[in-house]
Amino acid sequence: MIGLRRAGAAAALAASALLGSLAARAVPAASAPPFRYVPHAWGARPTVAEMSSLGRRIFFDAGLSASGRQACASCHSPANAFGPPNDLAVQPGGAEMTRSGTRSVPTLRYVQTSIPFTQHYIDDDDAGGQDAGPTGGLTWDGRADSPSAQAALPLTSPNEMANASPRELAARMRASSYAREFRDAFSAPGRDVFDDPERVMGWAAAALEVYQESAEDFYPFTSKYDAFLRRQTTLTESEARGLALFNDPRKGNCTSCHPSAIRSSGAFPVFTDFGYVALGAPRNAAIPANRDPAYFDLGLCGPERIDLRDSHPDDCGRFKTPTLRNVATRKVFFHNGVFHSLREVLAFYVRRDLTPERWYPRRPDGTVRKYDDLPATYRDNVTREAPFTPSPDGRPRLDDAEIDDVVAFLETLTDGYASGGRTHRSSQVDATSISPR
Amino acid sequence: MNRLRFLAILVSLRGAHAAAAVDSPRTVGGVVAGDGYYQNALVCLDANRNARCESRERHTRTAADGSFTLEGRGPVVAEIGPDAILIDPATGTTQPVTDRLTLRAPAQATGVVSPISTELIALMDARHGHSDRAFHAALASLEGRLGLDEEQVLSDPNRADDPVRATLRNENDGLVDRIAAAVAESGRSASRVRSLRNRLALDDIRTVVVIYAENRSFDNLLGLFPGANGLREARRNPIPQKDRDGSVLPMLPPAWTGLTAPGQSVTVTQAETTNVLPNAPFQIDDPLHRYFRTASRKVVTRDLYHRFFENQMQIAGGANDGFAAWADSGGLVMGYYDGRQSALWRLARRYTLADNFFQGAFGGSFLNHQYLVCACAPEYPNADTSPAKPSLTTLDTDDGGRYLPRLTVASTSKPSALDAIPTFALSGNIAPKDYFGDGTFRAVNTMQPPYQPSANKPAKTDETRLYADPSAATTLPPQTAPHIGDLLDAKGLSWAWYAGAWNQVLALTTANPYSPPPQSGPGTSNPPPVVPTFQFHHQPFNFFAGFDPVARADARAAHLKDYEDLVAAAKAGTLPAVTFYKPQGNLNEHAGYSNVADGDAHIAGVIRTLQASAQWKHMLVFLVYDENGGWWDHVAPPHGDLLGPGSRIPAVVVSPFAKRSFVDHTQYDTGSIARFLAHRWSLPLLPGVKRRDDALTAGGGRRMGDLTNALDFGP
Repeated sequence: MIGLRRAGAAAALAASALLGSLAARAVPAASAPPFRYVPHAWGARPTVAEMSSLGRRIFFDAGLSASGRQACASCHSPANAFGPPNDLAVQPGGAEMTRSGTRSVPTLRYVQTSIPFTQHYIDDDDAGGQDAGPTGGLTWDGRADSPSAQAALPLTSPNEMANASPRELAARMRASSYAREFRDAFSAPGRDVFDDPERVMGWAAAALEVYQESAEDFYPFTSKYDAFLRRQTTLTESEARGLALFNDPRKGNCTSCHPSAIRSSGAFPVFTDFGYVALGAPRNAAIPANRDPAYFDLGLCGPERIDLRDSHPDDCGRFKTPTLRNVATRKVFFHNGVFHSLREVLAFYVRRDLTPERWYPRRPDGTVRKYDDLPATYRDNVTREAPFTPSPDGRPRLDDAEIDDVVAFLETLTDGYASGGRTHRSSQVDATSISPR
Repeated sequence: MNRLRFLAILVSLRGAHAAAAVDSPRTVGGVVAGDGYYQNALVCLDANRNARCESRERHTRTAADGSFTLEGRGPVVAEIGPDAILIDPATGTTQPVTDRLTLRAPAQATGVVSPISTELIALMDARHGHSDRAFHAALASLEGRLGLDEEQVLSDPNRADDPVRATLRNENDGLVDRIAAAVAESGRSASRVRSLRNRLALDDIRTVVVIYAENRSFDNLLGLFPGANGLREARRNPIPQKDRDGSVLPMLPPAWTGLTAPGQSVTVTQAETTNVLPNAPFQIDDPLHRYFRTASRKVVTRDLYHRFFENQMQIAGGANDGFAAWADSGGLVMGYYDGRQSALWRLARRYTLADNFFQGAFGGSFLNHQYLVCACAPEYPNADTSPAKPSLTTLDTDDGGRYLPRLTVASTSKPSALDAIPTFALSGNIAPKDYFGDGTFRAVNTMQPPYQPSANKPAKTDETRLYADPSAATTLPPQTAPHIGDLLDAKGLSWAWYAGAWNQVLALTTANPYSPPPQSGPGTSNPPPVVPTFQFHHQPFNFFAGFDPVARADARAAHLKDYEDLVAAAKAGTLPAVTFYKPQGNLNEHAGYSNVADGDAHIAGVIRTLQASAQWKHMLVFLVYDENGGWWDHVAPPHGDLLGPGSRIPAVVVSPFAKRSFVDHTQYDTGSIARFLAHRWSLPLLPGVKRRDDALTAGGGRRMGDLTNALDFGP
């Protein structure tokens, strides 16, 4: 098992992967086509099954990290729906496991339907032609356009698995227990993939992407709520009340970002619209980077991506809306992991502006420094839609009993539910399968 | 001299038909007229009433003023071929005759041999009579339909004054193509009388039902249909999909984010579709896929781009080789279904399948619903200073600064379709100012109706709760262009738009608080309520000022109704003359929220309901898809105007009068429905339908048909 020695470590994602992207870079029309890390790159090889199987082994292989103690699965814990395994805001990492990053670990489940990041997203049918603005991409700021691009980030981040170069990763891969399978699957005819570290990197990321598409592990749709939608079970009274509050635009208004509805013969909800919102989460002192008062994590505006910082100041402070599927398995919430329970999160949602002193520090003059994790210039970007605004009567949108009901509902979104003699195969993967070397 | 003679004949004839029994002149005479006069038309006394000039029949040729005289009595037939010319008497300008025409006139009224007199005799033939009684019955029908008296109906359109002249011209214009089609169909030996009657004598159709389904290309659903222009033809002349740089793609791109929608019983992932789909159509429900599981018609696929400019980039000027490059769904665009198990297929087998029917407008459902009712794109006045300003589309321009129908690609967009979906600078809801050349801003992608039900809630100040917030970026201002309902109203014809879940959704969106589906489920019910999937932009009339919920509440009540009302009216035999039906979202076959099988079964049920109605024996049903839904089709749309037509879609004509087991290759588009209604009830053509015709003919093409080629009223 890996050691998790102290709080404050991070799963922050490197600003730029050594692998630019699995996809092609812009190439002049005349040059040779770019190599693509795709199934059947050479006739029958590699198959999707081979890529998925190798991706799985890579995912659980702590030996691929500089520390030898950190696998993908260390932070993206299969026992926690591929989210963080503990209540740390950020996870430990780095070559000595002494570093930490800046953001909490997102779940890897249900992210595969995310489109690449775009400034304008118009859904003609479900959103009626409204421009949802920035949408898509992976990670908290959408800078990775595909799961493979995302996978390359922690492999190379000095705060995480800390491979300083493709060569380092290739060396570690070559020493793995599945090196032969990797070579057999990913070597071009007459070549040895281990002779080309860039390709080892590319194939590793591609294999991780294919593994992360496996329906059983990452896309199961086996929650109680799914069973409810399939008319295989019923919700308890509390859960049903919670769903109603979740949907009600005057109460939780949660569906404005976390759609909950199934079309009666259509797609199941993934509980995110893949959009970006600034919630004004309080600054979290548990993140080491925050010791620097000049440091701000601005999401779409950096520090990890800076392409929008100057041109789109309205986007500063916005972070990607996560799926709420399996949210009850988390012990840490929001991009900075400032909250540790769903009740706390919901209380913040409905009382942020009513009792700001509960969430934010006071200045020396006694006034409350609202939205203290954003520079003053960006504080107007913080959303003031329900449920953040109080009800017309001045009360919070949800009272404590209603929050209990919403939490009860959110707990129905955890995969692996079995009911009425109909057992859904548990999609949980044994967390002990992380293999240190 | 000629004119005097003509007047004399006209005067004599006006009296003649009324007193034919006693008055027995020795000659018949008149003019062969349409939109001008036909010179050198061959005119015969049609002794055997077969609508053909034969050598044994008395014959002559018309003069430059269209006039003729023949000795004897009886019905007249004029054969107009390439050796004839059409002369405009006002200007003297001449036009060659391109399509062979046959004009007829009954013995009772030979003074003006015109398309209208040809229609008149066809109506008589439909009653199997050439007696005076049959003549007067047919004439009465025309009088009623045209709103003219007997003398006016029989008058020369070139000499009449407006508004009679305009009415006659409109009627004649609507007849000419049908007459040409009948002449072509009957050829040398088939019954020309029958061909003319099938196209011209439409009185037996008393109820027209338009079922407007969703988002499938012809090849997607019916590509394997025997006898239709389908995938076999596409294979004979393959259309390899090209990459964004114009090179041929080595393989189809993956179905991005997977072929199947979330939560389906079968999951086909993106990786499983990567690098295994040859650059060709593939069968989604093929039971023997080599690389991924079979997604049957019951499995919902992911959605596909179907937007105004993207559709044009995919059609690529008719090459149809840009579908994969400019899709958000990658290679899925090339998917198709077996189709044989579907009710659509069975209906097409039994009745008439139109295999050359194009969506009227490029792009999506919003615009094609508008096109169905107004043949137009909605206008957003001063959009650049309105709340909708952020949704103005960014287009490329040519060297002269004129807009091209091509979205500006974002700088971060991947050059190859194999690497990612395209991203654009801004593919918005509204085309740039003056894109259509009339100085306006027009909405081309989904916007919201100004009235509830709308995806935009009422403004805070709206105490009626009946309007959508006009300050919302996606609320379209009320439209005032003429629509088909206006034309039907003007004729005093009944009509209604029936929509699935209309009443339920109207109640939800006018409730306080506004609670549109799908968020509106009560939540406390176990198991979950079936929440209607209702698309506001599939309700085209709700965008028009004539249905203002306060000022025009009566019009709304009369014309905008629920599916349940349709069922009740069908059972009671009280369906209006023109009935539109829009199924609700989960039953309309739209990819992304509806599977093929459920919508198909629902529509089959609706048709059974209609067939059980007392009105069925005089009913004509057009089962038409609104647009291709982003799915590829191999047929190049004809070159029309800036609005369309777009890709080819399935269309089936179901009626006791539909030709049986017939595949109709006539060129149609969505506007053909308005054209049929115009012809059946002598309505003016919508300006957009006329514009489409002009654009087609200006480009050397043919006008769209009016669907009468699908009809057969029997021997």
